[in-house]
Amino acid sequence: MPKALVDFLTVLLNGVTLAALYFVVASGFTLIFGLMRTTNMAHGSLYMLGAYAGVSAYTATGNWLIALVAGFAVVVVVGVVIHLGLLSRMAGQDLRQALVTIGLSIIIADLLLAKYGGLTFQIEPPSVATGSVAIPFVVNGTYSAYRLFMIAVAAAVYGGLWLVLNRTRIGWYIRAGIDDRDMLSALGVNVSRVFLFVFALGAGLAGLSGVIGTTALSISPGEDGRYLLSSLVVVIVGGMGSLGGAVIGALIIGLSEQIGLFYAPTYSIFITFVIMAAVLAVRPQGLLGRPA
Amino acid sequence: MSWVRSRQGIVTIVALLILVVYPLVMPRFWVLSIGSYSIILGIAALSLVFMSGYGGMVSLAQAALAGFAAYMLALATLAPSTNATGSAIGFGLPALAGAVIAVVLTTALGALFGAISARSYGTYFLMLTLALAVGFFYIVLQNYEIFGGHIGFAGILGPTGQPRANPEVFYYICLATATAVYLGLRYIVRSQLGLTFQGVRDNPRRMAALGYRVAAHRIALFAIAGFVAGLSGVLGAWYRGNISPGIVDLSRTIDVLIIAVIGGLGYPIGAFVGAVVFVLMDVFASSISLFGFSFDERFNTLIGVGFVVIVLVAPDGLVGLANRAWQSATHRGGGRRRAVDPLAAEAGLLAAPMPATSIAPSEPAGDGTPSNK
Repeated sequence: MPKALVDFLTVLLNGVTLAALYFVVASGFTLIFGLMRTTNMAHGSLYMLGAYAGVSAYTATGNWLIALVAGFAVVVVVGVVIHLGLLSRMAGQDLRQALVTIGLSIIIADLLLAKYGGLTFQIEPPSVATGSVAIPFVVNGTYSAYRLFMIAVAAAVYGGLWLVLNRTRIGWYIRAGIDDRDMLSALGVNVSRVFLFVFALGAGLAGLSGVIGTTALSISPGEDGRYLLSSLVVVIVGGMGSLGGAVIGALIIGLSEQIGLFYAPTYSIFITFVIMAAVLAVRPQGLLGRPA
Repeated sequence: MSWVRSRQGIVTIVALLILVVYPLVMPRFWVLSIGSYSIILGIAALSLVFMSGYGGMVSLAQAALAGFAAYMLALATLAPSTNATGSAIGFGLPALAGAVIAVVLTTALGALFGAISARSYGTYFLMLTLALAVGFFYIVLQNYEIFGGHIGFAGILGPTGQPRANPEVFYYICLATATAVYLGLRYIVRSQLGLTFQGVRDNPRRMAALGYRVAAHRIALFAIAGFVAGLSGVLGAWYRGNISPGIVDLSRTIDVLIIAVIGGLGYPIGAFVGAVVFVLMDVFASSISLFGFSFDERFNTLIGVGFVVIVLVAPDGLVGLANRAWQSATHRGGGRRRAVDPLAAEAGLLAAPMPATSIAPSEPAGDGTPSNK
């Protein structure tokens, strides 16, 4: 195979595996927005919180799965506290909720800096996904097993969310709440409990993706901005509140970022923004978003 | 109510007098690092207050616009030199010519940001402008050919050279710029254009039905805010003498919002009040300690907690609090006014224009409008 083609296929695979991570991060963000219209600007900081919690758990136990559960659980607890303590008291005030989460993002990031310092941490991948896998069409003929494993994780998250949304009672409530929150409440469903569940789940997904991302890449102060940006762009391109939109948005952003990094390294972010502006010019609500 | 106007007149004159005398009686540090710096941050926050107050657009792109102006100033005024990637940059223009070019280009970038976000409202708009701001940060961080990568540029000199050489002169440049911007924006919001901006803010659909071009007005508003943010960026670059991606990172982006909210999103003067409080807290955080917890290195936690508290309990900021305190002091008992809550008002206004909010304008009558209307 010609080298240019091998390069291109490798870049493509890098883009898809990055998209898998971006999807998991953005899925929680879009889930929360879809039901509650709450823009959780602390999503990037919750990613970072999950990542550091995972690092601590991994350092203590050496077990990747425990780190994953710890990252998820810690952020679920923090999400419950944030929702009960602050956001549920200002339901329906989108802008104020967004501002409060901005304040929280600063506090969380600063406290994490106080505890973990400016060092860079990484988590070793689980034993099923260590080393590399032979793939004929990529550079050197091998590819990181963990990066392929991330695609499986993203697919599992997508499948799990699909099942919850489409096959469980709470999923019915969530979908009904997206369509008509007041009617659902009038039917006797405790909407505030549904909101709490969704916020905790969405936050937990940020923490989960923090552990997944820290295993593939690394975590250090400032990463919150990067994942907040990727979540924003993914849902702006894909459409707020749409799980399918998050998949498409993540693929577009992951691929354009990797293709940009390889072929025009100093302009890769620029390419991402040209795509975002182009999508907004045609569809302000995003590719799969419904008109507001 | 004429007494309000006369009170405002007296307060304005006294405040201006204090500001003019300030550098003559205060030590150098207070003139430069607190006085001038507060004014520079205040101008950036004013551009946000203008957008949110008169356009209902809460933007997080103002720090990026100011940073863009600083980069353009550096490129225009620095002597041609060869950078890391081997391309020659810098045009060696005089400081004032560079400032004009930087502000003009920033106004254009503001219009471009406006064109990208003109059809987004409320939290969508907030998210989109945040994405543009963080994206700009990564562009300047990655790009060595034009923006100098993570190093940026140093050695930017203002028209009076190093600010430290003549702190009083630099302070007066900042003060004159801020006063001119404040009066200019006041003029705009009282003109027909300003009223159209407010119509577009309150009810985009009805304005569109009346034949006004809603998107064009929102773009124009963003461009004007870009102009103001550009001035802040130029002064900031002269103040620091350098520019690097750290000036446009996420926390700087949020700082502008924090300053505007602390002062009061509905009040233009609040931008400067917020800036002074922010700078004083920044400088003196090390001497504050609560329950044995020192804020020496935890300035962000301190400012974050303060910001959340303000958003929760005093949505119209310190200026709103002061206004209410003044009113309850002068009208004891009956004539008490309701607290103005720009966030709650905007939550309705800013939400994507839906029929329910279009029928009844949720703007409180009279004193619900920003102070200088």
